[in-house]
Amino acid sequence: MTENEGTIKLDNLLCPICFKNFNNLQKLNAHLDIDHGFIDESVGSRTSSLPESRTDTRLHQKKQIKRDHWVKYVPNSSLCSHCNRLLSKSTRPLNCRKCGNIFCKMHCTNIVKLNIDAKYDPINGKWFHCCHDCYTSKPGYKDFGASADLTDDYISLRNSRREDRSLQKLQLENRLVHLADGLIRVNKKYKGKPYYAFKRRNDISDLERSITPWKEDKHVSRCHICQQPFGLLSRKHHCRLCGSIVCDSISRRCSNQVLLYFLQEVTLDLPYQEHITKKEQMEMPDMSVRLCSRCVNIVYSSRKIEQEKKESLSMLLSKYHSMSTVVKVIEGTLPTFEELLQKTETTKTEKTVPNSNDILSLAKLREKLLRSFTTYTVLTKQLLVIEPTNRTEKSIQDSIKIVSAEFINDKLLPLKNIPAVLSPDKYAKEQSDIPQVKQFSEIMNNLSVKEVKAYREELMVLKEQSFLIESMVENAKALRKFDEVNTLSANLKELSLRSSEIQKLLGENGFE
Amino acid sequence: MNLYEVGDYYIDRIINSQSRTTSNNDASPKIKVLLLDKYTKSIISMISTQSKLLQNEIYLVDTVENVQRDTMRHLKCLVFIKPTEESIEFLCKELENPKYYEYHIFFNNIINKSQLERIAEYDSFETVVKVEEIFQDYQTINQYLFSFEIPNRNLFINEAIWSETELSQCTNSLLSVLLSLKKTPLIRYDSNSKKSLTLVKSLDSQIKANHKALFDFPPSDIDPLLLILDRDYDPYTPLLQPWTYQSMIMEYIGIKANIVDLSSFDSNLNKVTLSSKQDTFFNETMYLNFGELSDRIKDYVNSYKSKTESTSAINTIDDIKKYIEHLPEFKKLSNNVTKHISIVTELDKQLNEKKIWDISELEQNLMMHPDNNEDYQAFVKLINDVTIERFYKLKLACIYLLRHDEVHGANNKVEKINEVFEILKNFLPIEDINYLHKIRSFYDKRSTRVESSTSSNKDDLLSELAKKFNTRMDAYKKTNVSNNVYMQHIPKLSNILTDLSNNKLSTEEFPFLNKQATAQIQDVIIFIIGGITLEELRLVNDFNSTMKDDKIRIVIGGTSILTTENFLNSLR
Repeated sequence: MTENEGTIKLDNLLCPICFKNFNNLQKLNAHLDIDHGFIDESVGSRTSSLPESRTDTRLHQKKQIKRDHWVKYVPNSSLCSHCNRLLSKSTRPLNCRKCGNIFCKMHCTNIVKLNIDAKYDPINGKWFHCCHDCYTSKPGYKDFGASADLTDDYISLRNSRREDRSLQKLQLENRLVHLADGLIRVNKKYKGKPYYAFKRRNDISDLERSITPWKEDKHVSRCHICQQPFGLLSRKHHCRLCGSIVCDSISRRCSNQVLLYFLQEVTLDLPYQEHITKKEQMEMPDMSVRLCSRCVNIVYSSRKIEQEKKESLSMLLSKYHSMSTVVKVIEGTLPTFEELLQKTETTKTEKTVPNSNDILSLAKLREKLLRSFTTYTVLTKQLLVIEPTNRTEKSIQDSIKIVSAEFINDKLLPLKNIPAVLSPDKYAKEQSDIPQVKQFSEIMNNLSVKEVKAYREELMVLKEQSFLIESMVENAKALRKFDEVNTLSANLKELSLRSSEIQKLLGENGFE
Repeated sequence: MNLYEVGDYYIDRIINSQSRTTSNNDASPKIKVLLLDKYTKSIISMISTQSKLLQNEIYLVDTVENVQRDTMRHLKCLVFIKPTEESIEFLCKELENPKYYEYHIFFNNIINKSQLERIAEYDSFETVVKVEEIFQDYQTINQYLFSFEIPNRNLFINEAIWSETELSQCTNSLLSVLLSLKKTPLIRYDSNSKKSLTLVKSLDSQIKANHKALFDFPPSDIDPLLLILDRDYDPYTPLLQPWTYQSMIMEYIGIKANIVDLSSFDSNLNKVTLSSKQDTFFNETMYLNFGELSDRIKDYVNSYKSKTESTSAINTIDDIKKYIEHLPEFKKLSNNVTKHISIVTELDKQLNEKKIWDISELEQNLMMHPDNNEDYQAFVKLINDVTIERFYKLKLACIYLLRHDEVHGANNKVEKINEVFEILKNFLPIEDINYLHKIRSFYDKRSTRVESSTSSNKDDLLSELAKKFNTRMDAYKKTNVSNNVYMQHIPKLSNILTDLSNNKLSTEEFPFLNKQATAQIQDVIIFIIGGITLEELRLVNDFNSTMKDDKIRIVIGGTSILTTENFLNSLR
């Protein structure tokens, strides 16, 4: 390197860690040693090679970061905590200033701000070397995903409105009670007196106006709710509960004529003194009240929602509920079953006799599981034939179909295979030599019944599988993937062979 | 700094939402409805899958805009919407006449008080049990890339001025990026771009306004950095034909919210999803170039074949069982193989039909050695070639002229330019010629700037040396240069990344907004106004994967993902 180049370089010497400017190399070195702890006490040779005086000044200049927790460097035996290679002088062993473990220079390259107790201090700390683990485990490094819960704010906002709303509701309900009672009384009064129709109408009108002051017709030119102007075709109507003037547009439903019977039916909790029966309502279809949509909403909708919530679930949803309980049972028993299976498996490899209790409970668990699965499949099938009541239910049904298929794929098919690890020799022994079977039946006395069940279940699964494959063959044919068809039909043959074998075995115990 | 993790976290928050009052009793409904709006629909589709939603008993996904939903009083409703006036209006209508058992509302960005009040006003039946802000007002394209999907066309009123609504949208989305990563960053911007300064200021005021409530993260020893760039700093990268798998699909077939529409050329496959999160093969190959990709596809098909062979030999009942057991997996594999093969065939077809090989080679040569007579001859030849689409001719002319202006700067060789225009007039319509003039004058000021800044850099010998010794990016550059004629050009972002990693990024070119940074750089969020190319994403990916000690982590994003076509059109 020429001198010229050297001077240019020295003009802007930057510390590679904190990018502070230095005007000569010595100062930079000193800075690195002191501020960033590059001087490493654990490497004995290096320290000793330093001039005595400098070490002294360094010690006096600055308070040193804590070093008690450092792992000591032992030549020829210390390993890098990260890559486990033997540390030697050439690999420059370094202690992570934070955790104190010893590393080779390749694996202690990160830096972190630490205080003199070697604790993370992002504000007042100084830069020090640390290992990758200390770097990535510093607070905030792996943090993400801020969120803000506004529920409290929202509820207090809603509550501030609630009082007004409930007051309004109470008022309307009171009016409704008075109106209904009054109407029924008036009707009772004129019952069977058709000649007084005019007077009756007058009485009703007086009653309605006494409940709430009607707004003046003259001052209103637009519907209170939809703001459409009144004209020849759209007449003005008064809501009998709030008195405002609304139109009777059929499409916008600003106001409606509601039968008294239905009104009372829905608001049974209100303290009515008079009640109208269904029969009476049928006789007098004009016993109705005109209500604007807002009043209907306030008085009626909240009750409707509450009632609907209490209603029993639709067919589809209740079926789904029972399905999910079965799923819970299956997911609850599967782990214990697998655990037990593992246990018996290990005894097998160790060539010891498996614990008879274990086998017994294993068989029980398996039976339980298989039974649950059968219930599950039956429930699924039932669910899928339910006629959905609306489009939403249809799409829910489709979703459940996908989920259940996946669930069976995931859980049942592997399960079918696992017992096969246990049972093939069981089957084999049964088929080849009878005495062995007896040995088994000595352990489990009602084995034969269980075996029949197991066979039946296997048969069912085989049938299911062959059905599955058949449909896949159809699919493949449709897609003209003939190589797939070949493999699939070969499988199909195998399956039918096996199922006929089992059917033969079962004999009259079989079903269908 | 992995956007997929962020997305998963937020999805889980929505899915597992519990109301405070009702503990998990039997009365509360099991089946859930997810109600989205047109914005969040694509956000959800980028970070989650149908099967994940199904696993969590979300059996119905619908939008608030759909007013013809049926009343299902026994379903729990999870609402995830963007707090726009429009969506809030729909939500209010929904709450005025509730259709479901209860509502858990999630907003994907900050909602203001008056909006919240309005919702409370309409919630007279008190069906809302939870309101929460989570911050995902952006699309997660992959773990390092986010996009706002705002087309360039709408972004600006003219070259230097933002359109008002887009500016606030951009600011809010950026805010949500910062919040979702929990960073309160130092901000740097491109000093040559007024647009970036406007955005930065608007963002800064928003951060300050929400400082106490939201940006209240514990201090870190190394401040995170947000770097705002303007697409104008490097107009070449989006003009050149891309060669990585992902970017080629984007360019020639189109990816929209992870969905690739193959129906135009493969009748068996309709719309397929292509997500690096679920598709491991795609995850491994998305950054490979076409040559490497062909090899990988070959291997993939071979492994598939070997698997089919092993399954076709079924002799025992155990084999059947095994076969049945692996069937779903097997089916998935075969679907995936056909999907990728048909994509690659289509790409290959288009490359040959449109003569992309020739075009791209010329493009790269124009970029690498300016003012080469051979290149000029090739350029004239391609312009004269009638089989090449007009669009590519325009693009070639664009690159040629811009390069020419950049190289010759002040002493512009007018004769040559005139000659080129004479030739072009025969093959391009008048509006394209006008367009070329316009684009030349637009980038004229920029190019002189680039010239001067590079010359000033040369004085700084040390930084030059440092650059030379920075093996990481250089080694990567070298391998690329020697290997591939089609990928000689390296986006300017590479220089910025290199400078960043050495902490040598010029404070003149990229000044800080408020205070100077501390010495170190750890987490960097880069945002490009005017869109990002997938080529640049590849750079970032390479950069992140070379950072073995995780010293620097980079997440990049843009107002949109660019293809050559929509970039060129956006300048019109």
